[in-house]
Amino acid sequence: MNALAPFLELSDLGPGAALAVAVAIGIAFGWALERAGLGSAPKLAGQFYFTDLTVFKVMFSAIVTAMLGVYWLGRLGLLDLARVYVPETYLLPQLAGGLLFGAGFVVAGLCPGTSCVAAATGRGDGVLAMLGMWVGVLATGLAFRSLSSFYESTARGSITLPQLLHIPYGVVVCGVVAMALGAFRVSGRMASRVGPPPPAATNRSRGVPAASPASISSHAGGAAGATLGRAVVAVVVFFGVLAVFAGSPYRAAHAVVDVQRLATAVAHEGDHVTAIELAEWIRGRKAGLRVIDLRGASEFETYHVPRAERIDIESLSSIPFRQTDTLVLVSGGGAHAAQAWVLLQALGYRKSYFLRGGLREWIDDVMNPTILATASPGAMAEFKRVGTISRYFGGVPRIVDTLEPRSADGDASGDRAGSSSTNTAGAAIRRRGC
Amino acid sequence: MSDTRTARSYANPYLAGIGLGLVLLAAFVIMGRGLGASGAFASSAAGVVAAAAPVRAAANPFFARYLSGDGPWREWLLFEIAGVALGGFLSALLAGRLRFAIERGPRIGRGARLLCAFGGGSVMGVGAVLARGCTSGLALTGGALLSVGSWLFMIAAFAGGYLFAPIVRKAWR
Repeated sequence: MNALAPFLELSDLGPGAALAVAVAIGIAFGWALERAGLGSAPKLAGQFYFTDLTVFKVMFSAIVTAMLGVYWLGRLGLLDLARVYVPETYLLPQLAGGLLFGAGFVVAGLCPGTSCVAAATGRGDGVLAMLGMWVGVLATGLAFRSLSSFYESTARGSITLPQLLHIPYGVVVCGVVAMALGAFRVSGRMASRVGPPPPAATNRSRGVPAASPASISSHAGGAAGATLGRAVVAVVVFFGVLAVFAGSPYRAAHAVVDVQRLATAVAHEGDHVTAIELAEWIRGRKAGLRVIDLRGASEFETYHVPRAERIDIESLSSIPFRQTDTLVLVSGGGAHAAQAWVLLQALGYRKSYFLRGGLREWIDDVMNPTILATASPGAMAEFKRVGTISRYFGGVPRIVDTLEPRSADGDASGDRAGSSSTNTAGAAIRRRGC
Repeated sequence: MSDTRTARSYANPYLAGIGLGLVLLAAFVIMGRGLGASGAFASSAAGVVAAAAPVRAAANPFFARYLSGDGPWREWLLFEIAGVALGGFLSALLAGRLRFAIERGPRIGRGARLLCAFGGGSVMGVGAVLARGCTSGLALTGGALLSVGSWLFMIAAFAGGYLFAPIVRKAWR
């Protein structure tokens, strides 16, 4: 079964077509914001004084609509959810950034998108908010060096609520729908108590299930509006509840192990890559390359291979990779990665490999390559090639008189012993800003 | 709706939200990515820094990200945000809501209001860089995809707004 969407990716498309799509989607986006009144700062600010909950209502009806759409298109095989970019999680920066953003939001009365609408419709405050935003982004960018360690901290990758909570996707979808409908109902009551426009009491007094967008009636007018509101709620509830029983929106991966094929791959060394090979892939920006670090969060934060993302081995099976991606598994010594390789192969990801000697091999061969001064010319030429790659990653190739004993032997012991050299390599890479 | 006599009233927020949700869904289906806004600010800032100080821009990992590929002025989000402005303009034009004004609370002067817009905007800019997105790219887009960071950002942003609202009450109420 081949999923149809996403239809276009920037790379497949002439840049012109992608940018035309961008403008078209933007027009629809701006149109929706303006229609809702979200180009007007006092209306947005009203959210924070409980006098006008338009921001909340628009935002959460949009999230519920798109969430249900994504879930059901994925479930029906019309959208390949694995190919939709999920914003990555960085706990502390997003917590701190969110608090700052919210404070700025209530002062300016506009957010980045809505300030553009305000400015485009002639509002001077919108222009100034845009200008301020631009200056804020510029200043933070210029001061990025001192912020970058915080910026990169507490990285959790493209993790979703179902993965975090270990709850099926459909159940979370239903939970969000229930939460949103409940909140709409409460906000309807609240607006009637605080808000300036006196509410049409007839809509609410009967306690109809359509109480949430019951106010659709006050805009669309009369019985037709109330019916529309109720119909919308009924559709949302129907698809929200059905999601609980409908299973995963991701395309199913059949865990069938072709033992002979795996054995052949192992025998022909088609199962792993060396650290140098991986370094060449990263440097050459190999298309579809994903480097997956299976170690713990603290070890990952201390040091990781550039462009690596951290994924627990336990959640590996629930993450939808693309069949076309090249997946490289990295663990401390290599054993965990080799085991995870079998799992990925069983799930059908044929282009998966593991880093043979784990991070130890990366540290030794890429970050600190050494060679004896007395080595043969052939070996020297190869060392020169490796040295270029090493320096790209901030490594320090050395020609020595005697080879020191290397640490890449034991799996578990190697993990511990490596931390000191790991730190220096990490510092070297940060200096280069890879 | 209380702004001007001639302007049409705003759409029902739930219907507008559903419309916005369908736009977001269309972005997922067509492009495999969601909406955004603050990225356009970052990309254009990178473009200006690159023009003024190319070496410095290339050495800065935050700006350098926008300088690869087709360059900062061909960034998808920049075109999307131009569309947002155009869409907002057309919608307001048809609804009779286009007018030059500084929208403010009843107890704040025009100059103070503009200062607030600029100051609040710049704080939002800092927050958006730290969080890697804003209400559009992080909250809406990631909210619909159930991203953990997006929901965290959303909760934090509303918390920040409500915590700070009493302090700037004079600006709005």
